[in-house]
Amino acid sequence: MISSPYAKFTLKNGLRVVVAPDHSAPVVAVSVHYHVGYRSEPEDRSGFAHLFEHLMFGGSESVPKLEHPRLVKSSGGMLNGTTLPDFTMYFEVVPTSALDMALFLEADRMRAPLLTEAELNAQVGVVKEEILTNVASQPYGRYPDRITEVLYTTFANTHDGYGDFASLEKATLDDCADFFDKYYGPGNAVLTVTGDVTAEQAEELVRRHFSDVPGRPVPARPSFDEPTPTESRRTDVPDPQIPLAALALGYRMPDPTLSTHDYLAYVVLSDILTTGENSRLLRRIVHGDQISPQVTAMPLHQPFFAGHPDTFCISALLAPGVTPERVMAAVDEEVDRLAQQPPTLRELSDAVTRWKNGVFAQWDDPFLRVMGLGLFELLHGDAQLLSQMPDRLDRISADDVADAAKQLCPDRRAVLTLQPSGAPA
Amino acid sequence: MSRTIDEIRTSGAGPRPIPSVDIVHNPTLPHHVDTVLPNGLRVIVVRHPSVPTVQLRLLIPFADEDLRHPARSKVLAATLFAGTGRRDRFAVDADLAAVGGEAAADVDPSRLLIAGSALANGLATLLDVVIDAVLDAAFRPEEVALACQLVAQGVAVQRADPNAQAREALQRRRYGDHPISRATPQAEDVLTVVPDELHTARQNGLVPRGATLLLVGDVDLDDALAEAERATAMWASDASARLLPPAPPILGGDLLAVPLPDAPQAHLRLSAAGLPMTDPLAAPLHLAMLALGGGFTSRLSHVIRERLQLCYSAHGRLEYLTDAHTRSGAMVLSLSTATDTAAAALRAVRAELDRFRVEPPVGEEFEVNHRFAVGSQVLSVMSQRVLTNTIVGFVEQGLGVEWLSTEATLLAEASVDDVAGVARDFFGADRFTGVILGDVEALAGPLAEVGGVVRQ
Repeated sequence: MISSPYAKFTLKNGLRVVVAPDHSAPVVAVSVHYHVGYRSEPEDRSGFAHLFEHLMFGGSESVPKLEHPRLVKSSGGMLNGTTLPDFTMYFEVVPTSALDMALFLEADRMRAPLLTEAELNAQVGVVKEEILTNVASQPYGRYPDRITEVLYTTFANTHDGYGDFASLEKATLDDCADFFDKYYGPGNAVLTVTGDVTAEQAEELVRRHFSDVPGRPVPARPSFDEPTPTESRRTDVPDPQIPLAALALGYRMPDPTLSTHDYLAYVVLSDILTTGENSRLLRRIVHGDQISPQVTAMPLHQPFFAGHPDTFCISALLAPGVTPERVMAAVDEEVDRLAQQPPTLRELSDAVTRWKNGVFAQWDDPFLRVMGLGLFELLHGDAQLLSQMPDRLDRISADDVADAAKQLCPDRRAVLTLQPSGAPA
Repeated sequence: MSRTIDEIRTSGAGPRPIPSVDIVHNPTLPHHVDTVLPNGLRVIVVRHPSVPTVQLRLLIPFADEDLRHPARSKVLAATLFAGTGRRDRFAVDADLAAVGGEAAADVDPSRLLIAGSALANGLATLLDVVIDAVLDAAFRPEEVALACQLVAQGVAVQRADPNAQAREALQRRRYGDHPISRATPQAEDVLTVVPDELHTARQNGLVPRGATLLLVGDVDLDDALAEAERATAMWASDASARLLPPAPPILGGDLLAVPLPDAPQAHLRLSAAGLPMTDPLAAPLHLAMLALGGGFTSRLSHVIRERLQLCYSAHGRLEYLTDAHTRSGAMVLSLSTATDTAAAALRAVRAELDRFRVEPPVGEEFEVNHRFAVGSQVLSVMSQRVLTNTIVGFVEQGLGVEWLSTEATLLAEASVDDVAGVARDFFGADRFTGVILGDVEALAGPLAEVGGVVRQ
């Protein structure tokens, strides 16, 4: 159940460990969140963090190449990794009897990964394919994510995690060694174990496998903050593949770690704006003015999945013949209405009640649970925040939401439009 | 200064043995009830109290040979929760939100599926909202008009997706003009849908006999069953929910080249006849397909992607179909490739299919996939949502919750010889038909050399 006690401890080598037992299904999930994401990569190595994530599947001292996925699959489990702006995460979800093996595999590659020239070259090719498949040939492939190009000015905050072909081709094996030693030490990571295991069993296995991973200095983590824009910035992009024009509005958000309450006010605001038929923007622009078939408001990387700065993004497809300006004007009116007159208690409670259902769904899925526990511990200092979310949301007031709405100013935001090629802007 | 690559790859203590895993095969069925109400509605309630929520699925066979059905059914699904006699769309949303709930309808050529969830103590409200929509959807003219616009725009977006186009092309190739091929309506047909035909479709088609209501979550079985009976007491019809007409068998043959202008990639879809879920050979066929196309360590991925580097992705899976006459299955292989390696990839797939017939998985290859199939049964019930989706798949093939343990047993008992048998009888390139989508002008020469491809 979601209120199960957690156990937390830190090994001598600095590895932070979170254990959250849950016996509702005979599975366990294991994750390692390393405190480095694509925001940390240098400008001429765009896409490196994600490329390196691929390399971590290339085998390790005790595990030949391809054995890791084969072993996990052989147990009936699933595995993957993901690279986000501020962390890289690896996980396995396996039947309970495979916990020992899953922990062994993560420890072995944390301790001694196999990094080779051949694998580096192969994965550069694989990532290029991924870029072509997921991004270049998908309509709306990088939308609305590329709003960051418009809202921010530093390379860290503007670029996406895929990188470009030229940067990927420049990556060297020495780069990999440097990157691993700098960012993949146990002191720069959180290990999370959740599922059908007791805290005692988990601790015993974790100590057995991870105690002798050598500690290394934890790199200082710079702030990626930059000044809030003082004027609106806009970019218009023609796109030959899209059937409908699209609009994205990007705004700065409070610090999710240091100003969690204020950040949560934006999260509740996003629900009041676009969740459910009664939401403000669906009523206005989808059903009322009928100028958009689809509108979404939310933090760009899902709530709390990124550190500061995070982006509040309102994205809308445009009905045929409708200008972005028309939709922007309607959005601004509705946001201003909320700023002047706070939402009703009913709107607040509905948003919070829906969130509770969502938090339970997240807890119930072993992958989402281990992802959430690890990122809350790593980025925001406490894994327990995951299960505390409903209570924290209860404390958001209508005035808090109105204050957040006041911050969504037209003169401090980024505007991105995608236009079907050849169509008038 | 960091260490060298060689220093990094060696630890003080050296390589150590990997812990072994005991594959535990001991599925315990969740507590459940499975009954048919007097009105013909099948009700299944499953207790899985991991979190205080409940999942709802209402599955209604909803097939029709009428050419207007694809457009009409999409608009019906989009407006089912847009208001009833006693609730406008905002009241629907408000009632759901009060119990943390959501509900939406989805259609495909074979069925209408309502999916919903709520906090567990909101089950009665969730049922009330859903059944109210099924019995009394208002289809108000302004709602229908707007929905037609939105669905038409959605269709345009969908048609731009290469995967959706490949799917549509494959359906036409293997099933011809059978209604199952009509998943995506034409935008111009959608724009002409009117409330009257929606009322008729709802009244004639959304009927309880042949439908299944599934509730999974933190529920008391008797209470939940009583709630379901109460909520559906007024739902009655003489008609039975309509299944698809008999589907033609899938026959092997040439691939059809379909133009995708300006496409940077080519998309291959191959398909052959499979087996229904209940066939005695279904479990070995499942293992066979895992070995051939079941992801990262499969033959297709390992040979065509990793070794030959001819494609970006390669997967195979089984599908199941229920029509008015019978239950059947199919196999589908999907590859995406660069345009200039598409022909070579096709040749390689056919070679692997032929090889599979005479070199079926044995030894370690069999073991890995066998262990995965047995072990992954555990993951298929690991959360309310996943358990619900698993059971919906069973229900569509006329099965129930018990299939969880039956399937696990059948998979555990499947042998190397069983798999060799299905490899011999169901695989081989000549059993497959399919499509290849891409820049057919650039592909024409290379595909002509490979052979077995015709143009539109």
